[in-house]
Amino acid sequence: MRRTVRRPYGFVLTEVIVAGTLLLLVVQVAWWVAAVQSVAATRVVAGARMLDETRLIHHLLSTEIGHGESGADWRVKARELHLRAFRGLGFACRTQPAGGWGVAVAGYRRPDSDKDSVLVLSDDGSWRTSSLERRSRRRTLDCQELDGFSTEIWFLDPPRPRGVVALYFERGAYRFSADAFRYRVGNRRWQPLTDLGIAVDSSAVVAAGADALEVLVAWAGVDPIRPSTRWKLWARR
Amino acid sequence: MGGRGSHSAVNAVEALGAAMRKPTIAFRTPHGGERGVALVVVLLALLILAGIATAAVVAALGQLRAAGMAGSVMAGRAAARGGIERVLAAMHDWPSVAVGESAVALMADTVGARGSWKVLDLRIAREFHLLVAEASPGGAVRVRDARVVWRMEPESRVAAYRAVVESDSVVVGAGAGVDADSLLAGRRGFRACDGLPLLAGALGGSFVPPVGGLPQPPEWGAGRDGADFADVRLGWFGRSMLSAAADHNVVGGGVPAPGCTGCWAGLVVGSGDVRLTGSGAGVLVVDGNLVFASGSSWTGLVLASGNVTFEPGSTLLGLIRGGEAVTLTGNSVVDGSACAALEALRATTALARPIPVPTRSWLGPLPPGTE
Repeated sequence: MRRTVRRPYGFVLTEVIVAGTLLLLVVQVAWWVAAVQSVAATRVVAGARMLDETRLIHHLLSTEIGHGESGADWRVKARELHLRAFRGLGFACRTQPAGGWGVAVAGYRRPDSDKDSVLVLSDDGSWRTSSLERRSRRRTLDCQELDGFSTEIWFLDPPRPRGVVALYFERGAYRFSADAFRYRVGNRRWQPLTDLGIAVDSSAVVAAGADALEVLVAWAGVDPIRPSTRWKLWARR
Repeated sequence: MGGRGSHSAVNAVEALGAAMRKPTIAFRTPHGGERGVALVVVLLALLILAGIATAAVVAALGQLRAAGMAGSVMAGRAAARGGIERVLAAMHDWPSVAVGESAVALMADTVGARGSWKVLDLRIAREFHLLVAEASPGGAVRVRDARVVWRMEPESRVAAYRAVVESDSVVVGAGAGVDADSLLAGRRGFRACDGLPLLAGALGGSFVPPVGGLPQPPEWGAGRDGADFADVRLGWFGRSMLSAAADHNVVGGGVPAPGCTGCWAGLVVGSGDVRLTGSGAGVLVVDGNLVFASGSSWTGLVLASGNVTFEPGSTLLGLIRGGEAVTLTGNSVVDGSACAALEALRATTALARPIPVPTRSWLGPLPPGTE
């Protein structure tokens, strides 16, 4: 007689215990792996952000003081860097208008008579400062063409009729305060340039010799090893 | 019966077992939709891990890109700056460009495997040029830098004179003379220079005195330009630069004779007390006292930081500037000639190179152009 033997369904208690233990183990390991990876990834992302912002601070300061001279254009006072923040340059056009000074201008931004002054090199070799009273764009001005330059007429006080080239600048200051690296134009409010998270007590901009600047940036955080970076910048002539 | 009874017993046990296992069977098998839960869980876990890893990789790649960009910018800056320095150091034949003409390419070269740089020259005043360097170290990064340089123009240098003899004090003895009547006239060896507008305007139109005081910086004296310009200067060539560029250096003795009679010796620089005993022509610069011995002669331009003494019978054809006293004795003569000074400067090729303005020469920021 034919007898059918069926495989038994279900599980016994031992199977439940083994399966449960294995499941717990797998979940624990997975949780641990995920947590470790999450921490590592968070560190990488946070480190990337710190690097980005450190790079930003380095780029800003090296550019700012690289275009100026120590003492004349920038100085450190009470852990603040006060400077002439140069924003562009202009050169005298070949044909000058009846009024004002015809210049070809290029820079990070257009000149702004509300906040900019102008440092003018005259043909006697001297650099002198004037305020930019007003300016007007003049496309028809006869001027040497150079890629990226546009023509304008500047009205300076005092006028510089023998001007050859000029640098326009705003007065500004940089410092570490309120958890960020900040900049302000003139006496306006301090604006953050980075995210919050900088340990401002441990960060500083200090003078290093006659024409150098030392910058220390430290980051706040729960990490026992608080990352910090220190570097020196030199003005150039 | 026994067999049947036995079979019934087995069936009964199976039925009991089946009854006991029924719920488990219902839990494990019938619903196909619940099959592969483990796979889903694993996939979800992998997804989470992959997400975390991707975030880290993206951050790392972003850093790599940012660091690469920062490196390119630095390479571009260095290439632009180096291009200008190379032009100033190595370029000898500058193109003749009028003030206000369009930019002229001076030099170009490659940087790295794919990069390039070039330097443009824009003459923005008679003696001032704006050098604009454009560098592309490869990729999309372009960097520009600019520097203002001074290049001596002989006509401008001579036109700055307001007298034949410029000095702190001038003593012209009996029989000696300073002549300012033929400043722009030609002489043997060089032509008249009255056709040059700048010179004609400065020295040709009105009376030019034979003697006069020293000009203010930057023509003479240090001003704000530094100690190197305190004693003797020619435009923005200070004492050390003049000494370095000299065709002939003289210490305490006579001027070396040029290769031919009356030909231009170029730039002759002396330090200490110099006594000129022969004849020569060119630009004579002395950081100290200068004596023109009897019978000696010079044609061209003379600059001295100390006293200048002309002994009887000595002659100068040209212009002179002395930092202290200039004394002419006996029948010595200074024959004022702007043209001789002009020719002397033109013939001094060592001075025909641009130099950075000493106070501030790098200009910026200058963003990359649109090309």
